[in-house]
Amino acid sequence: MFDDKYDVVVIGAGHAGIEAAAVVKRMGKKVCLFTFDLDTIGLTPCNPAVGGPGKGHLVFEIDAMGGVMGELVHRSYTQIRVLMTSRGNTARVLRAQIDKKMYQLEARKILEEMGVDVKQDEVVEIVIEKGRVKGVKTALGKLYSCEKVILTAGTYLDAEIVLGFKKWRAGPSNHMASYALTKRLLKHGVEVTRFQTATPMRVDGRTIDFQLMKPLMPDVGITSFKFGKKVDKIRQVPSYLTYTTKETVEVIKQHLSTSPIVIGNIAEAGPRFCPSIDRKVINFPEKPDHQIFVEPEGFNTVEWYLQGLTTSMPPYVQHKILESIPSLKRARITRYGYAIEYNVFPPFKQLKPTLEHINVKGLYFAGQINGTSGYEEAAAQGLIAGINAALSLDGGKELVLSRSSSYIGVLIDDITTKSFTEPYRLYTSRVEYRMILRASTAYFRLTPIAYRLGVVDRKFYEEVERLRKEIQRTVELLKLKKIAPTKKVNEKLKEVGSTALSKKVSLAEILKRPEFNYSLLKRLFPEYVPELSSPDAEFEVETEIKYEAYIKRQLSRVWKREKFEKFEVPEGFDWNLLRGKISAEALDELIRTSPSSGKEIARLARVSEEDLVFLYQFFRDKKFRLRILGMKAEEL
Amino acid sequence: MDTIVAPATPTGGAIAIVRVSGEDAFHIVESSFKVNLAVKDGKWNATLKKLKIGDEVLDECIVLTMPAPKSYTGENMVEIHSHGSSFIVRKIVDTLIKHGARAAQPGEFTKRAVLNGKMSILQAEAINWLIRSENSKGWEIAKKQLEGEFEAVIRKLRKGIIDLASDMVADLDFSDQVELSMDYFEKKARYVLGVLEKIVKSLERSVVIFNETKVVIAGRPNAGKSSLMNSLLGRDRVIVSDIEGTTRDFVSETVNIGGFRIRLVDTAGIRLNASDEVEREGIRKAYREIEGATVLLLVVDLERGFGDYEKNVLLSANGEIIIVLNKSDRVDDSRISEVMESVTTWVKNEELDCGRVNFAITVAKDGIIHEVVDKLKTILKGILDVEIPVVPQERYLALFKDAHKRAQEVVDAVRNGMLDAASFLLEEIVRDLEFVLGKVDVEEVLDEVFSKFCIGK
Repeated sequence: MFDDKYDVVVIGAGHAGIEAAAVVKRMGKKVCLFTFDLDTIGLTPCNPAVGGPGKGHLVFEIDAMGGVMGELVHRSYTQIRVLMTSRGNTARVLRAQIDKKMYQLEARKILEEMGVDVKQDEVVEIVIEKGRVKGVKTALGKLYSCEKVILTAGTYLDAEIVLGFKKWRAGPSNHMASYALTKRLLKHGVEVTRFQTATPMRVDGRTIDFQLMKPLMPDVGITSFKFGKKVDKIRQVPSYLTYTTKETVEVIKQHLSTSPIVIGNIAEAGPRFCPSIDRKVINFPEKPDHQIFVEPEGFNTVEWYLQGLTTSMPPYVQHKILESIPSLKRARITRYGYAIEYNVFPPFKQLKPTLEHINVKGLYFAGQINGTSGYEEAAAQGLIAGINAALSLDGGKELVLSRSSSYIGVLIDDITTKSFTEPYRLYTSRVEYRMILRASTAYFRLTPIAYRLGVVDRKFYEEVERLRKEIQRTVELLKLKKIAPTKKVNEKLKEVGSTALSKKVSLAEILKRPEFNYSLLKRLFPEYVPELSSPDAEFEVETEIKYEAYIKRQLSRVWKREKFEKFEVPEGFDWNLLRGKISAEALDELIRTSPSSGKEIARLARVSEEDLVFLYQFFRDKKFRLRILGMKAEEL
Repeated sequence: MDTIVAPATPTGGAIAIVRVSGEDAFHIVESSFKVNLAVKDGKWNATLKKLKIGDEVLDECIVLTMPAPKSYTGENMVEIHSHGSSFIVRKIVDTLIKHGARAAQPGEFTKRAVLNGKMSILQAEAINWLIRSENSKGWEIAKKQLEGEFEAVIRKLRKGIIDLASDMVADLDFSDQVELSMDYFEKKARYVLGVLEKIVKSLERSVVIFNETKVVIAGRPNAGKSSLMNSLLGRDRVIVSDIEGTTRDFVSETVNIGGFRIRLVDTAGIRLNASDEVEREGIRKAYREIEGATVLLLVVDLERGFGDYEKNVLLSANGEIIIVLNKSDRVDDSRISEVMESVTTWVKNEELDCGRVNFAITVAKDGIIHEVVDKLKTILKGILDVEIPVVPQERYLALFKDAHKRAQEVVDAVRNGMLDAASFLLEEIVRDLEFVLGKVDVEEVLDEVFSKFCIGK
């Protein structure tokens, strides 16, 4: 009856799908990845960039767990820059510009090399019997058996493009989209809603006046998104920065009536962090100079991406917008900006923290269909869904990363414990434990976990461990080695503008001074301060010492917080029983959201830490509960 | 919510009030005393009722019904105003408990009011202190806090923190689009620090206002300490004689001066060479009192002048100081100037804070001490003048002190270019002060970011 048999089927070969398929294969399972078009695996239909605050952390974490995104970026970048160099060590992060076509070719190659089965066919139905995945049916009439399905369909489900007054059925960049799958899923207790997002126009680089723009130069010699690989200097290209003008704002104001936001032919739920230029003019009418980052789409094309000019206003208005900007006055549009509407399955109350659906055993959701935005967020979910699908095939314990373990953990915790009305982006401000979850510690935090799960090999794990030990050893050394306030030492300190010592202090204490960094310490005390295996290792030693107090404080907070989140709320619990026991404000929110666990409660906006501790006691301690409710045991 | 009951008045008055609060309050009162309360929706109602226990009338009472939510606790409430017999009150409470009410725990009515959103926790604490206030200053502070003045400061603090936090988020999360200067961050961090500083200072002073202020009298044996004490108290409390060392033990009394509640302590006359162990112990105790004094009254015998003895005492003092130049009736004015001069010169040489040292000229044994009283009033007013009306709370003081320390660290981190650490520290402040600030959710901060900055690709 079945045409073929797989352990896991992955639907959609975007960033989530690639990671899911790759990791399932790594874990030794038979996997098939379905896509509309083998030539567009790993498509990046919006900006040609990966990384930045939050997102960059995710890429390192994916790399630490044996994902492929870091490797793909490393194979295809057109430039890599270090951001946030003046905001403190823990804020520093990378952003890469990538060659889109090269990224796709490398993605396909990597999957082929790994031996993932990739098929060009449309899955039109997930076969579900008695709340359990049985297989998938394709548009070509094929039937494949599988125990697990990972749905990573991105923005392709019931997708509609909006451009000016026009609206038509199509996926991103007019690719094929899926109009059958969702309808059939809804029969199985799956809930859906609608989000939108948009992208700017692309222009021919030969018609851009780069002289009028500020070039943003790449960095060299730094470590790439792939562990142990360096960014080489030969093949990098700059991106550019330019601005809109008063005229731009005027043009947009004049033509606002043609904006889909104003017309209302588009879903409301668009990303606030990625507003269209028309939205910006509506919200900040006084601001004339909006930034436009001009980024190359790749080495082998003349197309450039205009980050900041997102719009789905009609083509003639898009021309007028460009004409109002001196550096883009003559720019020839190759593709117009547009908006796209698509189906989203809100994970809150629908997905387990493993990303498996609560009503359908064996069905996992990852990526933009979960209402997130961004290639990196999608890839992170794909990786976790893949790991959990593979683990559950063997009946093993599934992987749930805590908020204190990783940005990935925060991302998945957020989307499964809170509801969002706009596409979700992982800001660093959402990550309460960011003093611990530094990009530089991703490997130390996650590679051991990945190694235990069999996702990364021993060699990689040992390299990470060696680096970790080197850092640890050096930190201890600097704490132990004391420097006496000799004349020679104080003269050296004076030379670099640092105050003299009055008593014996450790090298660590000296390194803590704001004017010091590791290389300066090395230069002043070469007899004690070792040269480490890489600048990254030295940077990490410096961070651990300079941020020691904050790191310690954060660790103690983690311990307390995680303890009090560990409780479940019985199904159908009547929150009214607690009226008068906790604040009315908190109670209202509890009644409104009816949370099912301490984790969900901890994320509520009105429930304080004190309330949480009370509820922890209430749901964990029966005697306490009875006393609070003034009941005898048999009444409950 | 179960129904609670408690007497609201102390025993011994002509009228006693018993309060009942809870969903079943009306029903329980009706069934307890076989009365019909005829409760009107949304309206208070007071009626005269004969309360019966069984067939016997216990007392004729005014019964005041206050339906939820228009009551102190926000629940259904009944107040029973009976005659002030402790027997009647006990009977009323016992009967209500028999019919399903529960004896309230201390503070439970107010706790319910807070939980039901009738008042904030800060208002509840103000009520607690309003009841306990014993002087005009305390009453004023508690009343102002009850009226929400402290909460207005807290709202200002919260706004300042969210403002700063959202700037940090904008800068750290959208670094390519928003770049704010470190000076700008420092300015905003200093604002938060400043508000916290005022709160800490006010809380510290408030502790002094609500607790007693300690004014310690010290001086050589027979300088006139006890006479001063008696004059301040307005009666002969301390035995006064011309024999040195009459006052061996401390005498301590509470007195109200200019609306401030003060504990007045008269130390034993300290001799430099004490003869026996008992006296030496007394001297050690005296120095401890001097160190802990809010205001020290150092009595100097003008005939003997300012010597080593007085210098030792002054060096131990931590608070404000009034040098009481006593026995002015026995010396010439030039002698007074001479003594004052020698004190001033010494204070300057020792680099003590001159502002802390005041003079008062007295004849204590005749009750001529008005200069001491005036100086004391001025000093106390200065010490106790709080900028922000807030009732004393040890827990608050500890938490706000911590928050203040963190805020200083925020400023330092910004100055050292560690905006990442500054934003972490600010979140710590927010979490530590959650009980007064209310929870500051990340979404609230993000909302602020998007309303302030035009962010987006």
